[in-house]
Amino acid sequence: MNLNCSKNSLLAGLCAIFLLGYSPVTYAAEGSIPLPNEVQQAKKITGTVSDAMGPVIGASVVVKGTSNGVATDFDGNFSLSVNQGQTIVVSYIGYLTKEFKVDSRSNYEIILEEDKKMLDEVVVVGYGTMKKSDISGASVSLGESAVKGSIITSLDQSLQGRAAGVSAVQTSGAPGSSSAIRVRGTATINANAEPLYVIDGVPVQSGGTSGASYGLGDALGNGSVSTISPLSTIDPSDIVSMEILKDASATAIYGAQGANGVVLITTKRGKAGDAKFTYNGMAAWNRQTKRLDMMNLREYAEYYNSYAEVGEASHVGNFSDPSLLGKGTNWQDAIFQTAFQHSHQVSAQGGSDKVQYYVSGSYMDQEGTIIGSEFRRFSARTNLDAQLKSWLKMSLSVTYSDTKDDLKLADSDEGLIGYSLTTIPSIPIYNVDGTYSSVSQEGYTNPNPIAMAMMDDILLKRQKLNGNIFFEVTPIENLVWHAELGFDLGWNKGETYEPMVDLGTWKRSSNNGRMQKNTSTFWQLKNYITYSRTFGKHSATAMIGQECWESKWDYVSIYNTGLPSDAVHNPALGAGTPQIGAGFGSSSMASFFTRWTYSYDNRYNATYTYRYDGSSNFGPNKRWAGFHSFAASWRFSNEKFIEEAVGKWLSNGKLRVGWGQTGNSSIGGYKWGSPLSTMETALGTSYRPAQIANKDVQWESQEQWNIGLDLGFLNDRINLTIDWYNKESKDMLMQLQLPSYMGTSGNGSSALAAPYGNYGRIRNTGVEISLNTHPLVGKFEWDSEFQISFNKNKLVSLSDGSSNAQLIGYGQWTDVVSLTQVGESLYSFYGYVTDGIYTSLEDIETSAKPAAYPTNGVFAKNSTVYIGDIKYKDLNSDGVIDENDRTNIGSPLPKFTFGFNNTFRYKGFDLNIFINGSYGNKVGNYLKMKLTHMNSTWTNQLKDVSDRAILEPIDPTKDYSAGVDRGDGQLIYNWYDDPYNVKLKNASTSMPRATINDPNDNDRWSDRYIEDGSYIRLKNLALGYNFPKNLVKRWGLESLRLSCNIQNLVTLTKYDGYDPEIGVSTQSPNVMGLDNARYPSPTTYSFGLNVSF
Amino acid sequence: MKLNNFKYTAVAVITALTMSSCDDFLDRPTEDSYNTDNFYQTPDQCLSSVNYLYNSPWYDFQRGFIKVGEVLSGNYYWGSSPYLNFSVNGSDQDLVNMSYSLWAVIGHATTLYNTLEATSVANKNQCLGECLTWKAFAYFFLVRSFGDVPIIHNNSSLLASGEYNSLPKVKRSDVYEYIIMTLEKAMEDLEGVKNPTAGRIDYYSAEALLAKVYLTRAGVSGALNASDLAKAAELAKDVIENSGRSLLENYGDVWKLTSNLASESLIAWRWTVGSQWTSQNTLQSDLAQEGMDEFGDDWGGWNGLSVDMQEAFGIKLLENQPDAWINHIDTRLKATMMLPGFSWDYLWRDHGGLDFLRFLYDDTYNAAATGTLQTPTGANCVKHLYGNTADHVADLNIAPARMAYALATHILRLSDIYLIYAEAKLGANRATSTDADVIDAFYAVRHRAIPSSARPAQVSWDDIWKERRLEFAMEGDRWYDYVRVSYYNSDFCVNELANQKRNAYWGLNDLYKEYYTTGMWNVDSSRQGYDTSVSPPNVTVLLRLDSEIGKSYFALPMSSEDVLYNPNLGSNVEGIHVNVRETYSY
Repeated sequence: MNLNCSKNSLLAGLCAIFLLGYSPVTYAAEGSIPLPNEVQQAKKITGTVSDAMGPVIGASVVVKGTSNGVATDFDGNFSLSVNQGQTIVVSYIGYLTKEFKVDSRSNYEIILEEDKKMLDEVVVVGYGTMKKSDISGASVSLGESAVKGSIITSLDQSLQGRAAGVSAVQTSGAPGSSSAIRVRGTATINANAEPLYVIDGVPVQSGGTSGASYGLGDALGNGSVSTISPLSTIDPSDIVSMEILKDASATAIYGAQGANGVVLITTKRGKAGDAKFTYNGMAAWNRQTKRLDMMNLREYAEYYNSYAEVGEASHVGNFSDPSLLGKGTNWQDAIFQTAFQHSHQVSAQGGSDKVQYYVSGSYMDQEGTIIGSEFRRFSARTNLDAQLKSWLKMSLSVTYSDTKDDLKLADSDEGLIGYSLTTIPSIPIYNVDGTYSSVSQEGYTNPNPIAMAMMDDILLKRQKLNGNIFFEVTPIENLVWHAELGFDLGWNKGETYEPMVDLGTWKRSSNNGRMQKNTSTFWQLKNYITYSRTFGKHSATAMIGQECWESKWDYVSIYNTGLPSDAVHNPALGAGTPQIGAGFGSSSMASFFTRWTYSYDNRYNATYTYRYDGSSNFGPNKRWAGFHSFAASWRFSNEKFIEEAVGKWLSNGKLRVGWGQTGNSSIGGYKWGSPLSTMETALGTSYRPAQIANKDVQWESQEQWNIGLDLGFLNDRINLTIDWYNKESKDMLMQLQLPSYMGTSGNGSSALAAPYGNYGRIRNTGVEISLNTHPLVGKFEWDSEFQISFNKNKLVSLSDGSSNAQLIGYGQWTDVVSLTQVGESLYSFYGYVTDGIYTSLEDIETSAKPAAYPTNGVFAKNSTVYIGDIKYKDLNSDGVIDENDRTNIGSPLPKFTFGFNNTFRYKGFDLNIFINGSYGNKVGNYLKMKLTHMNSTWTNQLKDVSDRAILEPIDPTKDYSAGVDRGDGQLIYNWYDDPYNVKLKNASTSMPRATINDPNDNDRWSDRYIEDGSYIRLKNLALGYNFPKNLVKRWGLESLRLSCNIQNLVTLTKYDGYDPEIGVSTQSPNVMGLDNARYPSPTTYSFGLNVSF
Repeated sequence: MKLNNFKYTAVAVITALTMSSCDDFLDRPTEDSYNTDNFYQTPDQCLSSVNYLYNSPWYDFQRGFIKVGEVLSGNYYWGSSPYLNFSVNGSDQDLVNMSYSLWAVIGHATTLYNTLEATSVANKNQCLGECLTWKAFAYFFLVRSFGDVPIIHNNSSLLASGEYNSLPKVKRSDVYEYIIMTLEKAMEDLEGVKNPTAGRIDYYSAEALLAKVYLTRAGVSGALNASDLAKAAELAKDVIENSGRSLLENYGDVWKLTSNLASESLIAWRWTVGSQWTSQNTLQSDLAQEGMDEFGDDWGGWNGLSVDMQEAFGIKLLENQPDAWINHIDTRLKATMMLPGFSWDYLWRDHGGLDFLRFLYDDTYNAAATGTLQTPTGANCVKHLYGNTADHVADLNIAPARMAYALATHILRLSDIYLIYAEAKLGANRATSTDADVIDAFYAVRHRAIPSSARPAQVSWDDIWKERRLEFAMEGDRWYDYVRVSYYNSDFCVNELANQKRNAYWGLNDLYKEYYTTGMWNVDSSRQGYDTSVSPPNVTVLLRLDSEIGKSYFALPMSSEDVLYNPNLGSNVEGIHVNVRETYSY
């Protein structure tokens, strides 16, 4: 027996008790226990219940034949008033029940032995629970410790590196930001690719993933993904476990919502006993440890002067002697701050044998490392369980949360990071009088990024009330009817405000404010009946159920300009013409499902599920769809011949095979028709078709095979799980990607939207390995969990009958950076391949002709290709460099990702070291492109630009004073305009010349910007100390724990930018791993305190 | 027993409820807007369904309109723009947006045409005619910008066929035939519709556009075609005589908010300030100096009318005295560019009118005054400017917003038709003419602009060529003049473009500031001059060979994104011939 098992067993026990409503014994109410001195011969006994690994929490200790009993506390202790000679029964699920007679002793050490037949932890599966040993599908459990182990504000962040087959990449380092979670690879395009989160049976309503859907307009960019996480409204410390269902045989019970995997989240529930209060507090500091190497003022002046020397700019006086200049403004330091974060949670749990409660309240506040960004959350939860009758159980869960986000647009062309990096060091942040300075130079005006961060508001307030109530009726033995009403109500308010600004040339004398209120209502009704029975060696369960839900949303918004003062940010005060928006809609689903499981002699298990879903998102032609799955497993370690042969060291062995279908319906409502949208014109409001209709839009479906092997060695001290899967998504729901001549490109409000349809197939194949070991047990313990996931991804077809279908992704606006072609993996970067720098005119003339090659052979530095420009490879060998020479220049998808978690315990100390990493993925350093393009004299660049191609005259003495004919009759007056007299000074450079006009388009998307994004990160380093019990008892406490934690302490990577963990683009779909000035994830130093009493 | 009854009843009720109501429960068409099945019932609905073709899909073209039309052609200086030195490539953002926009117009017009055709609304023909005129205009921009382009006759059937990623380009000449065919149908649909001041396209709008198309197509074979020219003249004449439209008395009035519906404007983009992005004009942001309006959205100060354009008006800043432009006879000068000493009473009327130099140097007049001249050519743009909030509200009673104003952009004016008529009448040999009709047409335009000008005794092709530049400066048209001439005489165009003064002046700020403070205009060649350090760009990179006729013409590369989808669009691929009238029909 090992600790991991005991943790899981604990979990199983809790699940069993509180979710199944099955209590192994009935406890007496504490108050009814007679006091020792009142009862003859009564005595008080105390004791500890433990297993091989330590105390067993929640074991029941009952006097046989009576209702007198208690449950052990968190340290396995119990105390009970008994009469001598009575028999005490100690039981706990998963263990052999032990009985002993009360003798003269008053203290008992009871060691429970694991019940091998019942090694069966009970885990949550959709619409019920199952014994772990009966499960034939692929799923991973994450215990409380995984959530607690890291400093997270949003639940999804805890999934990183913890579960094989689950990739979690944070979209941004902003507080409370979202992660892109992909269970077994990206299996869909455009339609939502995130897994379904189900909290205590109620699916989480995301309410929106883009900034616009939260009512923030385009303040966070125009992408379909934003940094706002729907899960950040949930307090992670309320979570007791997460179960990630990966393969289709496990997720098929969720039918049309299960294609991207399902994450089942279980929250803490009460336990019978006296109220126990717990305080959990944490204070943390976040900072950005990495800085990009930008030029300081002196370096910038030298750079500028070198520009002027080749006629690209005129000399300016201030820069004439750079050695006299200081370092200037460090805008990068100015935009980042050391950010403080703190959180507090108080919870109480307890109850009687009939009613148990868990109540918690929490508050957290986290500043972002970019000035002005902040996230706050208040949440409260009440979980109540009541055994109303012997045949009727009721459970109630309610959570309320209130969050406030101070958001900033960090990434993209118009984001704070980009502005900070490119603003030149000669401009101060503040004027002498303390006001913000104006960031303006010849032909170049930008907002002062510091002023922009501090003055412009992007606020999001969210309130959420969700939960459920369910009844479990047991009318006859073995049959349970579960009836549940779940709900999720949300109220959001998105506000943006741009105050008046008067910073010299950055002037905004008309302010503007926008406010949008969104309301969403979700309800879900489900009924399912479970019948389970064991007869002899056979055990079987049948479940049949029904579910329906409806989701309604509406919004109103108001926008106005010209508020007379910035003191109050209410758009209704504006003097401009107010713009009012309103909309409403709904979607619904109705489903029927069933699951049959059969198990024979703990050796053979089989499961079959079927779900039939109808969704309002589809047209009448294609509304309903059915999803089957089956799975079987063989617990070969229970076979006699195996036990005899290797039973000594093989404690568990199971082979699992599963197949299933799931679907995806999340495209939004009425995509099958053609609604009219409005457009104001000077001729009157116009009503225009919003999209091309397709009444036959149907379900995206997925089929997945899974083969898994679970092995436990040496009494489960070593556990190995290997899964192989192959899943294929077909009929992918997406908008057809069309060339612009189909009229479907451009501004969202002007282009005709391409029709939705079912267009392609994606295959993901992969292997996941988890190895959990306990190298050291005893006084000094070491638990180790290692998981590694390999996934291969392929776009099998984009079968819409078109020969050249592909998926295009943009960097910013119209700049193509990624392309997915049939037969390749998704979202590969796409561009040119560089082949050095043109060193001489001859080099240009003898190489393949680029687009800027002059047809009349007259080279001009500002309008044709020139010496010092980048030579691109002529991949198709047609003698010209054009669009057809672009190719796949790297995939953002990793070859494998891994996590390695180690926990060491000695006495009261515990040390956790968690390392995760990613190998083989490429990062597109879009930021570097902007920081090295050298096409403006008023944009700061990386120091690296000093290594750029430098031109020099071949013959410095050649006289140009009278003008020299350059070949077409035009006279030139400078050596650098004379291609016959120019050569490259530093032939070994790989960076092009500096040129304002950049006729050769040297900053086009090419392999110059593709970098290795592999990394190994010390994600978490945590040290905790639990004060000894006897010590804290003297202080009136039950337990006291102090801990400190450093997150993201070290990252080993070759990547040049801030942070190799990039995630999905917030600007364009079909783009991953593109660093467009992503808000970097900070290093976090935290201190925690946990007290219970 | 009671309990059991309850349980069974509950099960039965819930099951029955869920089963029976499923289909109603799941049927949810869009709830908060109309859909194509319940609209297009009344004449008003029909017209309103076409309105958006007048603004939204054109929105993304606004920047390309200036960059291609004016920067490429050398009328407008835009410092670092690749359009200034002809280094535009297929991934240029403005080029891509322009392509998006023009094709979106065609997509929308086609979709709407097909939708409306299936209805039986009384005024459906008028609506169909408007759709086709817009479609033709978008194609006209496309063929002139990119040369050979694919023909999208019916987008939904093309979608269904799945051939959209392998469409071939079609030869310019056939695209022109397609445009002509489309406009002929539009005129048929618009027969009898005459709305000189409604702001909508009418019969004569379509006819005027057709005249311009004929004039342009006349050279597409490599030599001017007399019958195309005759057709252009015939159509232009009908518009001049029968459209019920007339030139405004003052050239400068054309650019005012109050002239949005002037009959001189045959076709215009009808912008407004709405809650929907793309409903608005945003040209001022690109063209005006910082601080022109209240929204911090003007960044055009660093650009300006080119030195070459100034010289076309006869203005040489470093040689003339201010009198030369302040008292210039051509009223188009002040309506086009800002020069020292100029002021306009319709702009900044809450400040007593816009004064160019005070705007720059007087911070009591303009709180955002930069104290320096930004444009290195010394002449900022005036056309397309609406001024500030006070101007906008006074004229239209609508508040402007950031990058959003309701000034109509006139893209086909009656004066163009006069000059088309004159030019077409010169015939294929472009002979100087003494024909009174030619002189009248030419003089109608010139005399409105220069009231003191005398009626010329003869008009040459060169006169018209130069007049067009002055008359339509900043109206997105000049490059297309070069394109149509390049069809039959690219050497002329290359030579003229190569000899343009496309560079900037240096040291103008000192000159302007001194003039503002002292009233003295003292040019000092050590302090001011024309920048010769930037060598002239090479326009021949934009020439594309038509191998069939062995002549080169100007064409921009297609959006490289489209080439990705469809390699047939590559710049090295030539278009195919299509028998337009047999292949397509309306």
